[in-house]
Amino acid sequence: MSAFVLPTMSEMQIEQLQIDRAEALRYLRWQSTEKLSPEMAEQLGRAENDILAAAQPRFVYKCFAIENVTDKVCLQGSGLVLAGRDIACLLQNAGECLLLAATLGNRVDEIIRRAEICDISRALLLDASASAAVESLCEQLQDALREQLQAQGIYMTARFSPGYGDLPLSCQPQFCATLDTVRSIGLTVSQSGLLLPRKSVTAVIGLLTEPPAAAQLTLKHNCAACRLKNCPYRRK
Amino acid sequence: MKKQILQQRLAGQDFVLLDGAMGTMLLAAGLKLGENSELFALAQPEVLLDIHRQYMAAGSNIIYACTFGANARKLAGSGHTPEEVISRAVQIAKQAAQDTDTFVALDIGSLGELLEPAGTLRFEQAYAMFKEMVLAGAAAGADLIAFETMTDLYELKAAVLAAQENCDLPIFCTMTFDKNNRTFSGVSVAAMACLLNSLDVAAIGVNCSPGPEGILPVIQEMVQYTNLPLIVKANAGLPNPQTGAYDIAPEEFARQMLPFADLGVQMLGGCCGTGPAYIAALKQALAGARRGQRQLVKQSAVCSPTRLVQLNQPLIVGERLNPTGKKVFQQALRDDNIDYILARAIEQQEAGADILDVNVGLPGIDEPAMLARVIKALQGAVDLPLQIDSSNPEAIEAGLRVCNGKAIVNSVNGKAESLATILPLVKKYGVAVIGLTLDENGLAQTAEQRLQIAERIMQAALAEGIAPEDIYIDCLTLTVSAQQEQARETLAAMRLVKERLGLKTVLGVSNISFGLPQRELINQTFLSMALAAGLDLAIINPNIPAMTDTVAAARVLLNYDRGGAAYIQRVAGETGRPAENNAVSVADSAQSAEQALLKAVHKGLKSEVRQLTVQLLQDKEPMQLINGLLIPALDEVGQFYEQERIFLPQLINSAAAASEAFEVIKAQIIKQGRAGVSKGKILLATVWGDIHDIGKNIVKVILENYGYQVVDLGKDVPVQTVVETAIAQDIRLIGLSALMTTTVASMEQTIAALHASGHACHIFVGGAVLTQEYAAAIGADFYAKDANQSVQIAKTVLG
Repeated sequence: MSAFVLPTMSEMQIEQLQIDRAEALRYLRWQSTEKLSPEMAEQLGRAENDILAAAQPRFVYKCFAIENVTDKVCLQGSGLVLAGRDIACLLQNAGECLLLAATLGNRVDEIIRRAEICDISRALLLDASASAAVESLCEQLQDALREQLQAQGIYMTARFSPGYGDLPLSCQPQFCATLDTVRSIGLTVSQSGLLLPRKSVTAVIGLLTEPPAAAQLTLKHNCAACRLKNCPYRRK
Repeated sequence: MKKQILQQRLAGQDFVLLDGAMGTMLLAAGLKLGENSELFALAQPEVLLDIHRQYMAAGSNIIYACTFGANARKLAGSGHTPEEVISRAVQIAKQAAQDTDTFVALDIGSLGELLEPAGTLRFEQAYAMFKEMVLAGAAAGADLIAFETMTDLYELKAAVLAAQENCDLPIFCTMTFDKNNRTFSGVSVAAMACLLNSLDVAAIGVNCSPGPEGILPVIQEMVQYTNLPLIVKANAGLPNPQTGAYDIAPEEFARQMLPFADLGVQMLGGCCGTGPAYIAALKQALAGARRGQRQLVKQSAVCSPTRLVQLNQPLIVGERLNPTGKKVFQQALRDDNIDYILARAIEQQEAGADILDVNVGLPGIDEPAMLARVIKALQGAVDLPLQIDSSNPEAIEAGLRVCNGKAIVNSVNGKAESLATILPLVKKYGVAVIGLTLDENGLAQTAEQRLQIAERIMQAALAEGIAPEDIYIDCLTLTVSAQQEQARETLAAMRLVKERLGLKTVLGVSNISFGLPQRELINQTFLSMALAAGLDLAIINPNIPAMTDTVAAARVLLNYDRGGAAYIQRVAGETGRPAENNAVSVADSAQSAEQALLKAVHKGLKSEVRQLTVQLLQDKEPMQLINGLLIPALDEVGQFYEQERIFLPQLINSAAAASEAFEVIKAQIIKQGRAGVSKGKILLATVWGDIHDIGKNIVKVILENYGYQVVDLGKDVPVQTVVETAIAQDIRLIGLSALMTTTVASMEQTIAALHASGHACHIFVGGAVLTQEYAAAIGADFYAKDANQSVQIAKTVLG
């Protein structure tokens, strides 16, 4: 792979975290055709602001050379093994990949937990806004990295997380240990495999010297192929 | 022996050099990222021995054994036990240190899992894991224990207790701070110092974190809050995401560490990214440096993990978490309705309380267990320091143990037995204590007598090793309608305690007016007088604006609130005041009040619903209101939801608004001493291992609205707890929630255990990853696709 310089974490400050309201509404199972009432828009706006105020966005990423891609992917200098056809497809022809972890921090969990005691409807809006916010954090980080890398002739694949497709959730502890997320961003994995703080994401992004194939850009959780036919969050 | 030498060193003027990173050295020796470093090191003991020797050669006076992550959780499934790994690693470090004056620290890092309430690890489990490590390290001959890279004060407290109760080695505590001088979990520098100052630890400080320059502001703050020896073990800057290399070279590192010497930091070393060259450079840089003198810190303060509360101006202690004379609160305790208690706590914090008094004493309640449970729950709901209020020493200890932060014990008194049982607890858990001016002879009648008892309490506390700053005296408020001459004595006693003993004072104010009309006026006036007499902690009802206003005004008049800034802000924004009741005039006649209520439920207008319910209850029976108005309104909202005319947030809004009405009605029923209106009991729980409980909480609100009594076991509920509660309370409908595929397994186990118990019941399940088929496959009777459907299920099963 050609030489390139990956920006350091401190060069990669996310100035202003955004929340994609359409994404928040999808978590609220709001049908896109339905217009928000002014009251609902106001309440959701307030929830978004509360989440943005409480969020302590933190992230860590690290670049690994890929040792082999068959039915599983091994990363140089790491004990992590990424298994499954989907990850192999994502990292096809990629010489290196980024492991990435991002979190909104504990404060966000705290304000949702408090709202659940006194005001369950506010809790629901906060929860959806926070889910959208951590998604945005990843998007923003990805965009910033893409810009820096593309200028050096390096292309990024889509971001793919444990639990998507056939990449098992059970790799989460080893994934987080590899990035030492407890020390670097305060992100832990519970005994039952939950990421805590709750509003957190781990993901893999492949790095290529050639423009990626279409599948590598669109590969994410595939609602159409998922066995949960009546999942309320299913994308139509 | 070595312990004394170490303590002498800590009391001396010289710098103590720590070592540098272990992980960085092991990575250089071939450790893979994400691999267990302790096991890697033990597989090649000669490499480990060499690392220790390199650090000693560079000048380290204390080396950390390779035991950072040797806890039961990280070693699970490895075939090795903490005891085995720790004793071997400590032996190797001791071998390196043999025949030198180098000390060996048992190094214990964060367990790597979040504790309750943010996570699923119990305080008691954390304690047990630390205890196992401490015992192994002490037995292997470590000279001290270093807890490091901590971000959660609760975890650190479990660690310190485990060390204190299981060995007598000196304890070092360092935490990792992020930007804004907070740890990842939000712990402030001042709160860390406040808790550890009065626990018996040898030194505190900072490790890991960004490079030395990032730590500087943390230490600048820390020196203002502690007299303990300080530690800095900094990273070599930040790692490069491509190469893994850290960006600060040894000489630059040493240069950046020098300001800590000026600040009086005694122990210095390196963390991630550093190596022997860094320690050698540091030693050289310190050779010509002098350690700065530190200012002696004296403060009366208590804390939660995120909030330090200093007694440097009159403060409000919220008195509402107390069942005495409160029927609804008593009922909540009997029903295990913890959410009711939490809501009262949040209300008081919003109204301006600085500290919350917690009392759960009620006949028939297991007070130690309940107090511990309520305190744990409170810590997830409010971030105020707590005042543990009980006359039962066992309950006090149970509460103190699980309390996250520095609390106040309410109370000890002048009786010999009270002094002998309570003060050791105060000392052990490093908290503050309220001394009541009464003794074997009962209540002291004169100010002078009260002073004498206060002095006796003070002497006993000092003899126990409790700092005078942590002793607060309560000169006792007596009811003025019964003993009119006593109010003056109370005030006079407070002045004497402040002048002669120099102690802080505390007073429960509300009792003064018992039996008189217009109690608020008497309370407010007495509060003013007490504040003038030097009251520091006013135990009052913060929901009454007249009381909190008086404290706010007194802070101006007594020259605490400089320039009246806080007062002006308060008056301008009415911050800290509960919302005024702007009586709605939507309802002119009974007919329109009913319509207004229906409309308010539909629109989800909570305060309107509350007010209209109060109004309607004046001439309507509670059941009439429930069956005639609220249930039909909810049915209609539910239908709209089914028809997709409204969506989830609106459904929940309406449900939450309706629950305001039910709360008002329920309170009225309890006050009238009538039987409740239950259509049957339903048990709800988010299963073991899962903490996503918003869905379950929504189901709870909706089921309660329909008149079902919900026994909510909360989140992360052990299988056994579900089974035992179902049997003990004979609950026939059980709802389980799980959000993740990983926790559906635990749902299945819970269902299997319920079936195996032979308890006849129906089980319904819900959660994002479940389907009708999946629910049937794991043995559930019903699948609730949403909260609304759980009502249909409840109707089917319970009617």
